[in-house]
Amino acid sequence: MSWSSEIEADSREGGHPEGDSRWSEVDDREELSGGPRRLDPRVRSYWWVRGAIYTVVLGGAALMADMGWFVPRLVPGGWPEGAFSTGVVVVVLTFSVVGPLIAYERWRFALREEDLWIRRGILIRSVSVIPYRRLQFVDTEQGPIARIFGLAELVVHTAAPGTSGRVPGLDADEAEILRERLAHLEPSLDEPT
Amino acid sequence: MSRPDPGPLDGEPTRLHPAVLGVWALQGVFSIVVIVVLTGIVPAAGAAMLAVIVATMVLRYLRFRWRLEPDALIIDEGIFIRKRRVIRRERIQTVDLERGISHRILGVVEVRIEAIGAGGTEGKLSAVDPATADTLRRILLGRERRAGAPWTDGTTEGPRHPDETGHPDETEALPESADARPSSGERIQEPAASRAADSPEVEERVRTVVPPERLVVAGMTGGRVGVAAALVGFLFQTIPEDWWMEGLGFLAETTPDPTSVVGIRILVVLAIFALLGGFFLSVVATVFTHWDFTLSETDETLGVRRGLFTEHRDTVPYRRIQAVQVEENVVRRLLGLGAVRVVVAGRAGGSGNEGTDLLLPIGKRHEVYQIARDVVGLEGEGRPPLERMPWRARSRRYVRALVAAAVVAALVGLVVAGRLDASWWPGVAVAFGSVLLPGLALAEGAYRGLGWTDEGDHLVVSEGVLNRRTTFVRIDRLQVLETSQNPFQRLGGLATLHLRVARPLLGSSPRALDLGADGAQRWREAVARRVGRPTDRSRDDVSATPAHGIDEGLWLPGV
Repeated sequence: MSWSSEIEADSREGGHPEGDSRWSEVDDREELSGGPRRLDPRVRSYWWVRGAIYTVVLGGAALMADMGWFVPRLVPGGWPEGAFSTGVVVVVLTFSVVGPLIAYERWRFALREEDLWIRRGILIRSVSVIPYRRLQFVDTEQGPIARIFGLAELVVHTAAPGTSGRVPGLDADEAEILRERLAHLEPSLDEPT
Repeated sequence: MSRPDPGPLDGEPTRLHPAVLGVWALQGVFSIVVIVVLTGIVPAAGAAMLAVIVATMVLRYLRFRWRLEPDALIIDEGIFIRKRRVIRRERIQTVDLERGISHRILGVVEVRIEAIGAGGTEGKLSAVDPATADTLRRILLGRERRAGAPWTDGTTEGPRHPDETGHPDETEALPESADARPSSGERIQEPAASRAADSPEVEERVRTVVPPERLVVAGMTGGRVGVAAALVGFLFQTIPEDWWMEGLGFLAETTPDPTSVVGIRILVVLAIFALLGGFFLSVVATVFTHWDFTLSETDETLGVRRGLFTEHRDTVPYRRIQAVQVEENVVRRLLGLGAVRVVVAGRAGGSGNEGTDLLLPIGKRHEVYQIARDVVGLEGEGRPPLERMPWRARSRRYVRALVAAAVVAALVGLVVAGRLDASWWPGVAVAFGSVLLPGLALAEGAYRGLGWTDEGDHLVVSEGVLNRRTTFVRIDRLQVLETSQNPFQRLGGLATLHLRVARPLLGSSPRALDLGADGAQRWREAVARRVGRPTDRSRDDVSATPAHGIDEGLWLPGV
């Protein structure tokens, strides 16, 4: 099974290597409730706008260093004027354009029976599983650019240091609903498995 | 024992022990010396400064109040800006007592309270009389109440359930139990100090005492210094004696040219002597800080006592321990020795707290693993047999060694091509080989250092070649499970399973490095299921915790 097909595996496959009883518990794993979901497609535009801002800021800084505006020229003398800043802009712009496309393709999240499941990452790919029993508090965050697009970010915290999971690019209303749902989840401790 | 007057333990706001003025004065000896010197030169300025310092000290003492409420420790302090610090009992992770030289002279102890979510020490009581400190520690770390009983009723020690303790005989002797006492929430008007002191559960059993000669071994084999010293010893044996004599002989020469062969030799000899000096100091420091290292246990806590000049008494409740790690560096592994550390959330590893996480600075392998097993409650003995990672994990390490050697060879090749004649080309091959061979040895060692096993309620993972760390994690301490894959791991179909626990901000999470991607994913799901829906056994503990809180179920050593 390849890593890229993992999403299918996570939702459907419960098989285990033969002769290894260690995995037997996976067998009766519940299906993902509703299955894994993508982010809101608007998140790409949001990321693109953010990337454009990065490009302007970094490109501007590079241009200053390149042309010697306000600061001494920081680029080796042999380089033609404009070469360095052009290079910086091309690299940053490429990442800002391509990055959101890959990230959007890569991002999935699911509210499963017992836990929140998040897949993400471009270079370092990861899948986080955050059991609802471990949730300490749940936030939604919305920056100024995200507000323009009507997007919000869901942030969950456990006792582990730092943020345990975040889901960016949710429709603002939906993020609220998700937050409330997670915040009021009572862990199902009653029935034995 | 009964206390005639209500004290801080009964909720009465109280100052620190007056001896704290002496402690602060002794700790500030340096500034006092400076002032005396200044006074000699400019009497007025010196006197003024001394007055300011003394006044600040006295004000600090007068403003400081602490008291123990049923569910929290409350500290009021501040000269200009007054602060109230409320440290709730459920947040408290560890309570450490420290007796420096100044404390010893004045017969008091310092109490440090570490709480979850704090960057450094959350509460510090600079001087408390020893009996009060002891009782305070016991109350703060006492078992919290079970579900149904209000937190605020902290005047009774939380009852224990026979099933949970694993010590049924002792439990029956306990007068109070949750089942016998209705959880009405009424306050029991009994001084906390007397009750805690009478409680039979405070009996401490000494588990291990580390003798001084062992500490010398610990110092000699500890950390990087130990590894470096072993290498130096190896050099001493392999390099011919006259080489050394030559180097030493030229030490007398003035201004050696660092570029000459002799100059380099002198520098090397000097560096080795500096290293030896550092090594000696580190051994002495290890022996002093861990002097009389004693590991003791009660039913609910682990205690460490250590230190020659500054005496530490650190206490960690079992239920606050997130993971246990056995450390065996190369030298110790050869000698069959190791050390044990605990991972506790909230205890900062920063200044003044070095080594507070050590459960045993040095011990024989079986002893070290026995302690680790007992602390997490994993039955059996010795290092658990671990599963190897797939072959691809080994290939990945070999490839890495090859690439490193190739890079070094390429760099040497560039130098040769630029400056030296063709007769130097064999040097490139030598460079390649001399990086490749140790590289391959390390790669094989690193692969063999990797391992994992799943014992149902416990996971054990290990990694490291120069310092092999075997980490024991309890399922009920896991917060988040994460599989991750970097591009190189993707090439080899490998993945890492991160077992995230509540831990100090700077500490790293236990992880199983380079599992097969398949296996990592299945293991993650299997473990997540056990965390999300605890098995029958751990469900008892869960009922005692707030629904969304950290699982604070009782964690007792195995019997």
